[in-house]
Amino acid sequence: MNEAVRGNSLWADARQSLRRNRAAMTAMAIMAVVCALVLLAPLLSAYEFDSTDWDQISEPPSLVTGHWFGTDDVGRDLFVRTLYGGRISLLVGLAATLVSLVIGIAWGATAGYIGGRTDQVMMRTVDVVYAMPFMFFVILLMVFFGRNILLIFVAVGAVNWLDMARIVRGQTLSLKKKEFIEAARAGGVSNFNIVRRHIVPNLLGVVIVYVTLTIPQVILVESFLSFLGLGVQEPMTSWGALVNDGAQAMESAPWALIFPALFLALTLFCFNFLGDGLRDALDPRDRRASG
Amino acid sequence: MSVQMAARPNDDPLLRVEGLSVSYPGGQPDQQTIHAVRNLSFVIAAGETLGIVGESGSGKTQSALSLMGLLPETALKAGSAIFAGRDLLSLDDGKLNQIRGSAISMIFQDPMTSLNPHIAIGRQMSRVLERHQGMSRRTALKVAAEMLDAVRVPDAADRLRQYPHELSGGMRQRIMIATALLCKPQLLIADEPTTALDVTVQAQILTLMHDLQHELGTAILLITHDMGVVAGLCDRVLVMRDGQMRECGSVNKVFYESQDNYTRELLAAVPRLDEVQPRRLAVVGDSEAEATADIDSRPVGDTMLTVDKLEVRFSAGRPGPFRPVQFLHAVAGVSLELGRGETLGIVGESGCGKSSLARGVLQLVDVHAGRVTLLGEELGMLDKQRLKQRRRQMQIIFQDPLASLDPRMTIADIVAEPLHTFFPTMSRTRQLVKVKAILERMGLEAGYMNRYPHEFSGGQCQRIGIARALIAEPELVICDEPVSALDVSVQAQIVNLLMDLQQDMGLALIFIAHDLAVVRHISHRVMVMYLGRIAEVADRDALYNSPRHPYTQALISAVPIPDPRVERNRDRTLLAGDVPSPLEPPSGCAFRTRCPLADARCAAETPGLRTAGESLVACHHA
Repeated sequence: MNEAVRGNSLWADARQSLRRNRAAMTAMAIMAVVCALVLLAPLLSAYEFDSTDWDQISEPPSLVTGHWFGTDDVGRDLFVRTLYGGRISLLVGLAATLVSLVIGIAWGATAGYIGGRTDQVMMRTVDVVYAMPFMFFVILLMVFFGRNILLIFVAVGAVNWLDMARIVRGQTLSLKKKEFIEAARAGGVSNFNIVRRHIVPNLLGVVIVYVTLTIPQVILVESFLSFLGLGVQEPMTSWGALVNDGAQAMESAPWALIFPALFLALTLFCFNFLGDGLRDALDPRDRRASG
Repeated sequence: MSVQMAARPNDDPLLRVEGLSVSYPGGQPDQQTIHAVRNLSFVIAAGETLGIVGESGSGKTQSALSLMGLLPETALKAGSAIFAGRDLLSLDDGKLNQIRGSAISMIFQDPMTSLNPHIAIGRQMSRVLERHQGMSRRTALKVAAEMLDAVRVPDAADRLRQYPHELSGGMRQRIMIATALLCKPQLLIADEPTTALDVTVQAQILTLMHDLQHELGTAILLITHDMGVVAGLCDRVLVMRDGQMRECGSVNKVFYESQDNYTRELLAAVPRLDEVQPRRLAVVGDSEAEATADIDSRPVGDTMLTVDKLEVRFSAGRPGPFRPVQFLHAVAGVSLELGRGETLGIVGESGCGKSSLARGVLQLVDVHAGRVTLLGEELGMLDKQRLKQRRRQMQIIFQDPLASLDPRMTIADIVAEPLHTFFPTMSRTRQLVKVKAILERMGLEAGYMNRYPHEFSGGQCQRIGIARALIAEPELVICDEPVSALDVSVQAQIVNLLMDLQQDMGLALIFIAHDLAVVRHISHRVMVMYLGRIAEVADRDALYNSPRHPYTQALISAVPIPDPRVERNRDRTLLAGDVPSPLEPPSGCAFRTRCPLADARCAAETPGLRTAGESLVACHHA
C-alpha cells in the first residue's frame, strides 16, 4: 500500500496541529506540573495538611522552617494545604464539566436534530430544571444524602449541563439545515451516525470555548459553596476556600491569599489557552493560519 | 454641486483609470502578498457602457470597490483614477462622500442584503437626496416616488412605505437602481446586478438599465461574468484574468475578432442556447478539446424511474388558535418517466418546485401524495431499512459544492461515507483504494485525500461531491443546480465530466438548473416547471426550437445570448412581474397572471397536459 492511500482522522490531524501551537503546549506543560505537584503533595513536605505547628502561627514563608508558603492563623502549612486544595478544585472543575459536557451534548444534539415534539418536551424539561433555585437544590441534596464532596460534583454538573444543552441545541438547529447534512441523509446514513459523525464534530468549536469558561466558573462556585459551609469541610480545603480565608487575613498575612490565588489564576489561564488551542486544532479551516 | 461643475473639456473621458493596482500584504511573514489587481488602465466616456468580465478571483469587483473607496483597510492601492479632475484613489472619506452616491453610485449583486431591512424604502431613498442635495424630507420622498415610477415599479407611492422584506428580489433590485440614480449620477457602477435574479427578471432589469441609460445619459461600468449580458448591454468590453487586463475593445471586436487566447476560450466554454454544440464543451486551457458525436445518438434504455402525480407540501408558519395551518404546495402533481442512460433537464424560475421535486423523488422530504417507483419498487411503501438500501441506487449532487461537504472530515472520509453506510463490512484499506480510484476518475490527485474541503476550489469541491455520489455506483443521480455556483470554464469541465460519466456508467440523470443553455447542452428531454406544475415537456430540440407553452417561450427569449449581433436583434417577449407566491397560487392556469394569451377560460379551468406538436403542454392556447 503506498503512502497516499492512508486516511488521517480529524483527531490525528488535530493532535499534530495542537503540537505546533506554542501557547497551548506551554499551558499543557504548566498544567502537567500543577497536576504532578497536587498529586505528589504529601511526599514533598514534612507537614500534614491538618496538623497545627504551634510554634509557627501566621508565619510568613520561610525556607528555614520548611513552611515554603507560610502558615495560616492556626499554624497549618499553607504549601501542603494549597496542594491538597488543588486536588479538590481540579477534581470538581473537571468532573463537573465532564458530566455537563456529556449530558449537555447528548441532550442538546438529540433535541435539536430530531426537532418537533421531542425537542419541545426535552427543552421544556431543561426549562423546568433551570427554574429550580440552585441553592435550594444543593441544600435539598445535603439534607437527603448528608455532606459529601461527591454531592458537589452532582449539584454543579446538574446545573451546568442545562446551559450546555441549550447552546448545543441552538448550534445543531443551524447545522441541521446545512447541505452536508442533507447529503448524508441522501446517502442513507442513519440518524445516530449523522449526529455522531457530522453534528458533534462540528459543534466542538463552540463547546470547547464554553468548557474553558465552565471550568473556572465551577471552581468558583465550589468556593462559594464552601464559604456557605455547604461545600468542602474543614480541615479539608480547596483553592476557593483558601482564597476566601486568605482574603480575610489579607492585611496581616498576605501570603495566605497570594499563593492559592496564584495557583488558581495560573490554572484558569492554562485552561483558557488550552481551550483556544483545541478550538483551532479541531477546526481544519483555521489550521493553516495557526500553524 | 461643485463636483459636477468642475471644468472638463469635452474630449476628456469621464473616468480615466491608470495603473490601478490593489494588493493585500500577507499578515504573517510566511504569507505572500496577494495581488488582486495589477496595473489596470481603462477609460469610460460619458454615456457609454463598459463591461468588465472575468471569472471569480479575476479582480473585477476589487477594481470597482477601489474606485468607490470601499476596499478593506488592509488593501494597498496604487495608480490613479481621475474623475472630474480629481483622483478618486487619493481622496479622503469626507471628500469621497460628496462624490459617492451623487456623481458616482453603485448597485450590488445581492438586492436582499444591500437594503437595510429595518428602514422603509422611502426613508432609505430620501436620505440620499437629503444628504446630497439638501432637499426636505417631503420633496425628497416625492422625487423618490418619481424615480420608482421611472424604474417601472408599480404603485410607487405605496412602495415607499414598505420594508425590503415585503418585496420580491426583482423589485428590490429595481429599488436599488432607483436609489442609485436619484442624484442623476454621471457614472453607475453595477457589480453583477442580475446574477442573483431569475432569467425573466434579469431580462426586465437589463432592458430597464438599457432604457434608463438612453433617457439619462449615465455611463455604466458593468461588472459581470455573463457573456450574454455583456453582448446585450455593453459598448466596450474589458476582459480580466488574475488581476490583469487580457483584452479591451469594442463588443464586436472582442466577440468576433478577439486577439486573446483566453477570451476566445472563455467564449467557447459558454454553452449557447441558440445552437447545438459539439458534445464536449471547450475547456479553458485545453486547446484540443475534441468534438465528438452529438448527444442525439441517445442510448436510452428501459424505464427505470416512474413518478406518478407526486405532491410535496410544506406547512407554512405555525398554526395559531384562530389560524388553520396553511400549506405551501411546492410540487402539485408532477408525473415523469426516466429511462436508463437518459438525462431529463428540469428548468424553471426559483420557487417553481424544482428542488422540492428532487427531494420528493429521493424521499428526503415527506411526500404528500403520489408514487415514486424506482426499478420496479415503490419507494413510499418501503420500510426504513429497505429504503436505506435503495438509497445506494439514487444519489444527489448539490448546488453549493463547499456547503455540501462536512468541513471537519477529510476528503477520503467524505467520499468513503457511502461505502461505510452500504458496505459496512468493507475494510478501511479496501475503501481507501476505491476512494483513490474514483478521485482519479474525477481528475483529482490521490494526494488530496487527507486534506479538508476548504482547501479546494469550487470546481474541485464539486468533483468531490460527484465522487461521493458515484462511489456506491448508483443508477439514478439527481443534480440540483450542480454548476450554477461555478465559473464558466469550470462549469464546462463539470458538465463534460457528468456527460462522460453518464456514458461510462449508464446513469440516468435528472439535471435541475435555471440556466437553459446548460440544460440544452446536457439533456435528452427537458421539462419546464411553473409553480409546482409541469408547463411543458418535450425532447430537447423540439422544446428549444418550437416551444409551445408561452412560459417556455418567455424563458427562452429571456436568456441572453453571448453574441452581440444576435442578441441585439432579438425580439423579446418580456414577462411582466414575478412568480406569484406559491401560498396563494392563481386559480386555473397558474401562469395566467403573467401570460400574454390569458383569457377567461385560463382563470376558470386548470389546463391538463396534452400533446401539441412534439411536446406535452399544459396550456389552453398551445
